[in-house]
Amino acid sequence: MPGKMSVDARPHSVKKFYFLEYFYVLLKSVQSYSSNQKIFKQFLALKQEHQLGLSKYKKLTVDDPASPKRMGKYKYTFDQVMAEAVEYRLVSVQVLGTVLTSLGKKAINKYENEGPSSFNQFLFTLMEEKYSAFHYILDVCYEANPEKSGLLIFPIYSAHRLGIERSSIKTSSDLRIYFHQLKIQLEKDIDRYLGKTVNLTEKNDALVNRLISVDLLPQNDSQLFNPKNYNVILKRVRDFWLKYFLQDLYNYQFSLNSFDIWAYRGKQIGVLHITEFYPDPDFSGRIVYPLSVIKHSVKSKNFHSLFSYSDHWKIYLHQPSWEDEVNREDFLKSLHQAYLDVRRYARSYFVNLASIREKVCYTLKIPEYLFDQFLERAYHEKFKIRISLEVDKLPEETNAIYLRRTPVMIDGKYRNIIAIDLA
Amino acid sequence: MGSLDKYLKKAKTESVVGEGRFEKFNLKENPFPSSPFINPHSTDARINGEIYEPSIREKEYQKLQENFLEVSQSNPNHLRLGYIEDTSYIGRGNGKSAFILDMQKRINQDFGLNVSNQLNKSFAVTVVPEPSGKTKTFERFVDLLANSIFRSDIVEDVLTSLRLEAILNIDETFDIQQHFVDENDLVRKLNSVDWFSKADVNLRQVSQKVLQNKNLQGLPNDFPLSSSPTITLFPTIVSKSDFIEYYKNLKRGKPKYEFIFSHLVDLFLAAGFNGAYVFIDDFERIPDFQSERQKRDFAVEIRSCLFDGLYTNAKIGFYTFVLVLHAGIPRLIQTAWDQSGLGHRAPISYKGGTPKHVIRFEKITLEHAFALLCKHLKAYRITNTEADDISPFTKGAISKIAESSEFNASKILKMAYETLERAADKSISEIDVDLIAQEDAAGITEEKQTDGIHDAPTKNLMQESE
Repeated sequence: MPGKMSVDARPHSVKKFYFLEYFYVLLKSVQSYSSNQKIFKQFLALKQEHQLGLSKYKKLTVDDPASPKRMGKYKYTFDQVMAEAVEYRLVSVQVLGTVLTSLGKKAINKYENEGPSSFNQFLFTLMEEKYSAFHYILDVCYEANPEKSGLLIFPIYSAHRLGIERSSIKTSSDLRIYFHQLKIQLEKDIDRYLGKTVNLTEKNDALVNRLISVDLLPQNDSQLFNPKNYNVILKRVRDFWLKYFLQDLYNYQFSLNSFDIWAYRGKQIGVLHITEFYPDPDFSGRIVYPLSVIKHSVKSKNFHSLFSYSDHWKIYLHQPSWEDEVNREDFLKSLHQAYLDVRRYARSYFVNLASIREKVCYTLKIPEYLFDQFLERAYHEKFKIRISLEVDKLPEETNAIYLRRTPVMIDGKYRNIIAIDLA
Repeated sequence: MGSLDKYLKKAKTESVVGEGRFEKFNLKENPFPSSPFINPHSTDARINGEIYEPSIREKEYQKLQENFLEVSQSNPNHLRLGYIEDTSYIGRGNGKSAFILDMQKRINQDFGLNVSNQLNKSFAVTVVPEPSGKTKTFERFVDLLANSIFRSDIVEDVLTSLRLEAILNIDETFDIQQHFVDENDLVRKLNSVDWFSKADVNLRQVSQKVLQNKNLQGLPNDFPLSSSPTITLFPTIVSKSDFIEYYKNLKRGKPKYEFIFSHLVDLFLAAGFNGAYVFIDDFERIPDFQSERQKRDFAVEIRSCLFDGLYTNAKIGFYTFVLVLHAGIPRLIQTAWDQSGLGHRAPISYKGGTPKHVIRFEKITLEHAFALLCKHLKAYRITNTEADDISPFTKGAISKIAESSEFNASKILKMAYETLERAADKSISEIDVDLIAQEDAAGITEEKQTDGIHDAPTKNLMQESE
């Protein structure tokens, strides 16, 4: 079991942005300019170049005119990144302008000479020194679900997913039926994935009452609710339950938003994984699981110490090496098995690569970037299996899916589908 | 006595026989399959291939006819190996299985006489390799081929043919019309000991006459037909089950290959057949699980049996193999094909125009989509309407369905099924473009998976780090 935290964790103080690459973009901008105005302009240009933003994998047109509203959002992000960079002493705000510190220069060096992974891990040490947020979250994971190695579930079920047609939801009573079905599903999931039996009736009633008290849900069963409010209601319900899981079940004492941000940052570093696309026929929603452990020491060669806390506990990332034959065998076996599993129902020779990646990463507990690296090696080297990768998309999947899921980059191209045969 | 009451009690309201859900559309049932995969053994006309619209694959049929069916199978230079190639990487649901099922029916209807313009007497069988790597070796494949042959009626037909010919040879005055009502009757009688004694036809004499056929001279002594009819109190007649038993008891490998590729061929030739078409559906199930070495060995065996081995089949090319492939498969077997020499005789990849032995399956056209849906609708109409009646679908709706399904036959059928179900549930009388658009937006279909995260294997990092 991980050590109980004797360090002071402050995950709530995180700034509001996900991509760690923003730090690099900011540092490069500061490297070129010192006046805030010019830094911001450069920041925007580099942000575009690195395609950072909501739909990273959709091409943003170069001459996309930025509306004042959008500019406002960019400025907000910029301010946040700048503030956090200052906190980590990567940059320093002086009378004559903002400049890079030696730490900032070191960070840029890491990115450019050792790559984004190394950069992210360096940032990790700075973040963890200040906030110890990842320590906190890992503890939360392992304590909440020791049976399943720290797996956390955040179920999200739309009405459609529960077999209720959106068009049939018109009255207050219709909505309540959906809430009720949702409650039952959540109870089932909690039992299945967390091994706990809970009764959510009271909580569900509290939710309903709250919605009534703010006039989103009509008191009277047969009354129609305002269809314009549908999305707002859904969001409230969603957040209500997510909070329940996070704070009541998992004992995470801070905001949903802070958890979200740390989790996605953790994913980039490889300290944990979060996804809403694990291929599971029964479950809908997000899952989180650790890819690292906090111990005094480890015996296995597959773990690397990333950071040492003040109480001498260390965080070890699970980063098996490709050079080790056992790890290679594990990967190839897992890859082939995942391919066969997914293919069984797909009935096509090529299947979605991102789905394979989710399965393999969960089985082997490796970060996505490691999967991409291993796959590239396996693709080129001669083994018992032969891999075919294509950029084509499967016809039954719409573009919407490809926009939201991170594709796999092999040999400089984003690949979407894979087929495997024995060599 | 209270518990016995239940036998007397009736439900509060009696069940009302309501109008069929699809009656308002003038349909007996939903005419489309909910999961559009061909299963020839099913009794459901929607999935067993009975409802088939030949116009959709007319082009493909013509190519098959031109290069395979209407070519004399007696000419040893006819094509012996062909490929039906789906042009899509996601080659599922384009109607290949339905096509070959229909092909098989057409050929077997009258021993291939019609489809070949009286040029050939042939039959067709389909072999489907088992999933999950069960069919990895040529040996196993040959077993499946034997099963397919035995499952069909061909052995009985052959025995019938041989015996009929023998009877006519012995007795020129034998009147066929007098003795047999129809085809079924003929087959039944000529395979029944009873009939021979009732009709006063000497079974022993007939059997011996059959054995005199020039094609049957090289058969081994223990071949079912060759077994000299013993003089017993109860005369027996050689039947299909004797062949099945015989094959089962043969030693593995060579003896079985010889049976299928030499002795059976001799038997077929004796009955006047000059060729047979073996369709191999879902062929990729074989190379999917084979190592390179296994693929090569397999290819070498095929080459030996079809082209240049010592079997009768290799000499005359009796069996014509047609492999059903989709776009990813050629590259899977390219090396093995080349190394074994098969690629030389029936190239699997080609530049420029499509060679004669390859039949390409493209996506269907909008016109075909109409024909396809029409055919299903017609089969389930309560009262007959015009041939091109597509109600309750509008033209626009069908166009949209075809488009959304990317002109994949299987998906078109599935979408039609789902839309019609919805329309029935919601008391919608006409299915138009808007309804289809809603249908499309509602579901982003993701592949269905097997293990969920709940029972997926995973490393326990706490333990691993120890």
